[in-house]
Amino acid sequence: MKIFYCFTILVFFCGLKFGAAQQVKSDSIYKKVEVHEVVVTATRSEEKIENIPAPVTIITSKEIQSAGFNRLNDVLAELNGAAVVDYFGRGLQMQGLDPAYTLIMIDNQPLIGRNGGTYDLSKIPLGNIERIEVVKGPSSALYGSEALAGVVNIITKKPEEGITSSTALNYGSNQTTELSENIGYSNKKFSTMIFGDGFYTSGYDLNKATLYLSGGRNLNGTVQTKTNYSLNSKYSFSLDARYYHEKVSNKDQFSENNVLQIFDLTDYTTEFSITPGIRANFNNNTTLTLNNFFTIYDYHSIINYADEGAIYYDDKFRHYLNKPEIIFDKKIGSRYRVTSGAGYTSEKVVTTRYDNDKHLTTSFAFAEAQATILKKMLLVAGGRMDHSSVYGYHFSPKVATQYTFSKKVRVFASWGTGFKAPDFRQLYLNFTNSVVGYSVFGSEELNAQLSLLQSEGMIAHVITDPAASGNLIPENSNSYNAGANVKVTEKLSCKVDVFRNDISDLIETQAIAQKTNGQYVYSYLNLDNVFTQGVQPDISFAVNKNISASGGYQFLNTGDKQVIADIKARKIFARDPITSYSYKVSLDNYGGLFNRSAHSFNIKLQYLDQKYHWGFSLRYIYRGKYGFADINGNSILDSPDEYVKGYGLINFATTKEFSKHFSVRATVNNVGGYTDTENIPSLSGRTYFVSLLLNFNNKNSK
Amino acid sequence: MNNITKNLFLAALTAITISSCKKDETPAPEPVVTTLEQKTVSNLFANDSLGHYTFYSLRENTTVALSDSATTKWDIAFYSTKILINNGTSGPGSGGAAVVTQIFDEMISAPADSSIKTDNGTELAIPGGSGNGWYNYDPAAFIISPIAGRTIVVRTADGKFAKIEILSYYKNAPATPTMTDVSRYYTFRYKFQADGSKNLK
Repeated sequence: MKIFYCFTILVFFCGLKFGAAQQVKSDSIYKKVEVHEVVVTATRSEEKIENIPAPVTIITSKEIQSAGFNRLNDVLAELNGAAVVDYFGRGLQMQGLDPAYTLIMIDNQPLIGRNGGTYDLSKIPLGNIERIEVVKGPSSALYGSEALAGVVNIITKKPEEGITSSTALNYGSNQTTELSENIGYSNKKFSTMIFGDGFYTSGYDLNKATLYLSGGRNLNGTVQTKTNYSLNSKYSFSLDARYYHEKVSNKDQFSENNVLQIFDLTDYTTEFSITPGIRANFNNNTTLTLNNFFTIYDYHSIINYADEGAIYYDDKFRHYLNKPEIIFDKKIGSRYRVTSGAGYTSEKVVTTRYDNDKHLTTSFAFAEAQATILKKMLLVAGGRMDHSSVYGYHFSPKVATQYTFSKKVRVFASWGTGFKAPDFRQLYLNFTNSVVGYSVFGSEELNAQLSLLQSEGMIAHVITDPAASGNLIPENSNSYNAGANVKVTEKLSCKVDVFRNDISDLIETQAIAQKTNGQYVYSYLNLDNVFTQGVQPDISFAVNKNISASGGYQFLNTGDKQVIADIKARKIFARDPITSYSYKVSLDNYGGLFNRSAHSFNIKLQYLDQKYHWGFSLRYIYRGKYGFADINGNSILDSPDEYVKGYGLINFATTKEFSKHFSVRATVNNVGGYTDTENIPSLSGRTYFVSLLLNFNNKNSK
Repeated sequence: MNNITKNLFLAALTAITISSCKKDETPAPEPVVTTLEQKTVSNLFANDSLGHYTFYSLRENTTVALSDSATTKWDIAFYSTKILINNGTSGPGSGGAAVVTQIFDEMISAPADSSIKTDNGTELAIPGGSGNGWYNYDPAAFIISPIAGRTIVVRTADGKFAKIEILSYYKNAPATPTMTDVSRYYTFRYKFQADGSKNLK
């Protein structure tokens, strides 16, 4: 009893009544379950998808299972309007914004383990995922920092009644081996779920000429639990916990003092989080949730000399975050709802990269009200105030509206702002490259470090006066989203979303001073103003009870406003690759921000034979050409040789269910074996997998 | 449906006719302009292994011997990324230079004398350093690249004007030099105005 007292699960399931209706009863992909499409991410409380005036996508466990995905990056790479890009791991680019601008959550709590701004999605196994909710467009009005491009919320499975067990064993290319196990128990008052996952891959190499593997050897494990105890119809307690550990190994060769050396590269990542909570359900319309989220992200990178094992480089980074939060949700009649909350985040970073331990705190409060007027019109207004110990107050408002013409047609539009707070690195980094001799200082360290260098006579001249630029402020977005959903017939539905994001005060590195050794001192400043805009139509068609097809496309247009102004002022030049003569870049040549595809689309076909319980899933995912780097020296994307060729991937999986307890799946990813060794080392070529799936339920088996 | 197709076809046809009409138009006769002769110097070796600057005469379009370094026979001199003009602390001539953000072909006249600088020992008329003068240095790739859109106006040792665009700092002027390319080989194009005017067309 005492143990359960501190346990809870919260925000996301609205009492047992709703929760029960929503449970997916079996892991079988053939079982027709009338899924009540309810999402929690868009409003922080359960809301039917048709009541959300924002582009929302739900990816179900069924889709994940039938497609034979391995890790979360595989799933999101096929999401329309998104791309998985490789920068310090596999990150999600949404609405044309970098991975740093999408909030990633598991069961409503953020994942903080970012490296270079990217949360590596390949850290997330899929065996315990109930569904993935993706909300595009800014959600800072609810979630605060990072939710500029949107939110990905991974909702894990809740146990079914009785004792359940599901096991998946997956083996395939590159010695990839994954074993995952879910054990659940549930009765009327108590439920618990334990999930364990072990993953190994030997890595792969596209370029045999180098020692460095394109994809390193990776060994990782996940343990996750989710426990809920209902004291009575009013009060329930929950406890969520997650542990992840990963070891990535690689080799490389580079010269030190003109001697070629072989090095072992090893990265260890550990993540831990625990969330006890209490939920009070005063009546069916009023709920109060109280929880405390605590998490640690630990990253340790070591480079050893391969021969004698001596350490060449050792980097440690540990980030603690604690966040108590209270959320209040009240429905007034069937037409009004108010959600509000408040919390306090305290963070600490201990690392070899900064001088001493760094702390920062953020207190926040948010509220959102929803009203249905004239029966068909929905209005939502909300906002969140964050107060940071570094940048002070920041307010994020949002308004949205939706009009439902009929059951077949609804349209919505929203305006909101998003923001991303300066991260620890941008505030506190204190780094001097001992070989080359340049330095990078976080904005909070700059003044002191620059004075120190000046007093030591190491500064030749100051380029930008750090005092003139002031303190770092959050990066801000101003976003418009609109969309229409049309159910043409029972079988055919279409939707289209359009968006525009104006992002200002992007934080960039800038040379602040030149040292007497000719090298520079860099720091971070709020500099660039960029935009992303696009249109994204989707169509889905159920041909018959066995066959369904869907297609999606995204047109994306991005740019840096200063670059566009400079091009218009005819101040940007490039060199002809043949003659090397300079010419003026025209607006037609400007390709916008790097790493964005103007065109991308996907076509998906699913066949599920209800009679013989076999099926397949076939997808074609195309990513159009995108800029990868400046070649002609003007630092913008303007020349044809600065693009990576567009490419398409065919992914295929087939599943046969022998009984409700046992299925076998075979998967071939990247059937065409497309690779681009130079530009896309994260794309491994064709891979094969075979999976065994075992399900057991002491109730079902009777 | 048929009508739409027909209309589309007609529209397309009209478009073709219009565009072909345009082609048939006789082009306006180009105005007769006398332009200076453009010269290109390739792989001018300016390595510090020589132990001295490489001197160059723009009028003669040839290198000048080290023994003539104290004369007005040369106009510009190269030593790794450093470029001198024949005046001030660098030589006895009446040279000078200005680095102008303008593409070579549009630089049709030399700027006012006030913006033309001379070498004064600490500061060169053609400033050194990444981003300051004619080149950028990429510390990650260790590559020197001439900044696109920079034209150097040179006043020669005898007070005539010329314009220069540096095209490459690497041997055989590769379009995208890498670390393995051999540096300190200048390739540049220039136009020299012998009549003493500022006309650089």
